[in-house]
Amino acid sequence: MTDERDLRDPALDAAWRAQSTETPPPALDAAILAAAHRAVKSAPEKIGPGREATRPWRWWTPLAAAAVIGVIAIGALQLAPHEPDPTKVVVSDMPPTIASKPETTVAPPPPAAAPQSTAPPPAPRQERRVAEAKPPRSSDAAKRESSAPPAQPAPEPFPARRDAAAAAAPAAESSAAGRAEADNAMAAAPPPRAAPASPPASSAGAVAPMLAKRAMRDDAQQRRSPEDFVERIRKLFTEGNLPEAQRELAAFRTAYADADARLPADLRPWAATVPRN
Amino acid sequence: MLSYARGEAAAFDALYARHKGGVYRYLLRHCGNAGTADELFQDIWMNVIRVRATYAPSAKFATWLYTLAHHRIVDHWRAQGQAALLSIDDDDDDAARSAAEALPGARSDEPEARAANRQLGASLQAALAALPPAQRDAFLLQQESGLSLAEIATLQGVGVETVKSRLRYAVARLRMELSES
Repeated sequence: MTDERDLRDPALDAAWRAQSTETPPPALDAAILAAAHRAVKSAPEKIGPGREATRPWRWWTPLAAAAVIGVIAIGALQLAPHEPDPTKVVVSDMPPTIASKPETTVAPPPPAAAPQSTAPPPAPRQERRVAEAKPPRSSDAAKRESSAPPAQPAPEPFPARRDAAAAAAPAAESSAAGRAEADNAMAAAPPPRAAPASPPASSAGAVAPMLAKRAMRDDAQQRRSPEDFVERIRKLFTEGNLPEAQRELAAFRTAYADADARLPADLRPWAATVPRN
Repeated sequence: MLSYARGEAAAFDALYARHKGGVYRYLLRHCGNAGTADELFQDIWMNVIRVRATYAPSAKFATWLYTLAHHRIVDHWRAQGQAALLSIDDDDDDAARSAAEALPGARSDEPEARAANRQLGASLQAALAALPPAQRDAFLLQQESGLSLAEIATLQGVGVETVKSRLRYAVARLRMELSES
């Protein structure tokens, strides 16, 4: 059995390799390669799943169109100019010049408003505050209303604005403790978006909760009606707790300038003996 | 080749770069004329391009490619009216010698080639041209294609022992020519 290596002569192989250098002409190479590339590129392309997916008017096209229309509609509603809500009750204890500005009618809800919203204040007090806040507005508003066309039905506010108005009502009540104290109370809670200039919570420190409590107490005291004060004073006076009755009288005087005049006749002699602060 | 059949043109570039020299020299040594070799060479590769879609890898690509070249050179000889003389499966020494002398480029009709026999390459080529076609074909396939004996036997349609016999004879003749020069 002859092996393949026996059929080879190394010297002959080397001589053959040395002589075997011929190659096809470059022009022939180029022609063949060009023909090969042409043949591949001219072949019909198969339509695969990827090409199918790019066809227009697939099932998702109406869905996408509806989504785009919806987004545009919502954006247009959000960008529409907001008209003031005439049905919204503006409650504010701010000075007349400030309260008359429409921009300040919606106060950001401070954290002190949370516990008060659970226990709404008595209705007469709220009406009184509205009455106090409205006269300064009416000076300018009366002129506008007199020159304005006949009353038309007020436009229905957007649901979002209606919610904001509802949320702003208790917030406006809590602002009665004064702007400075309210700002301090707000420091204990995350600042609202409409009040970027509010001080950061870290600057208030531990004083903020105390100030908030004080603001709540003062606010509750101011919202008490004269009848409440009188009833409380009479009860303390009857019980003989005169120091507490004196403190209550002082609070009554602080809340109402004509507190002594509002006292019943039987308490006035005693009240006359209590010094004013 | 399968990659090229799937549309990758770069696969053809790689195949062509790997096999173009061997196929070209195989044709050139057989026909002894560069122009004819160019024509046959182009025919073979265009055939490769044409049948790419139906290519079935039953053997190595080189085996398939040199089979195409083998058939193409036989067709060429037949077209030249030398089919009876140039049966490369004919191992008769006299007939092969006659056929070799009938080949273009053989030493009998190129005096200048004989004059250049002092050079090794010319001597080898002349000796190769003088070989019977079957022996020359076996030798060229062994040297240029790198096919094994079994693959050459399959390509030529003969047994392995026949291929060995042809190679043994061709190598002896060429070695003798090499020693004389």
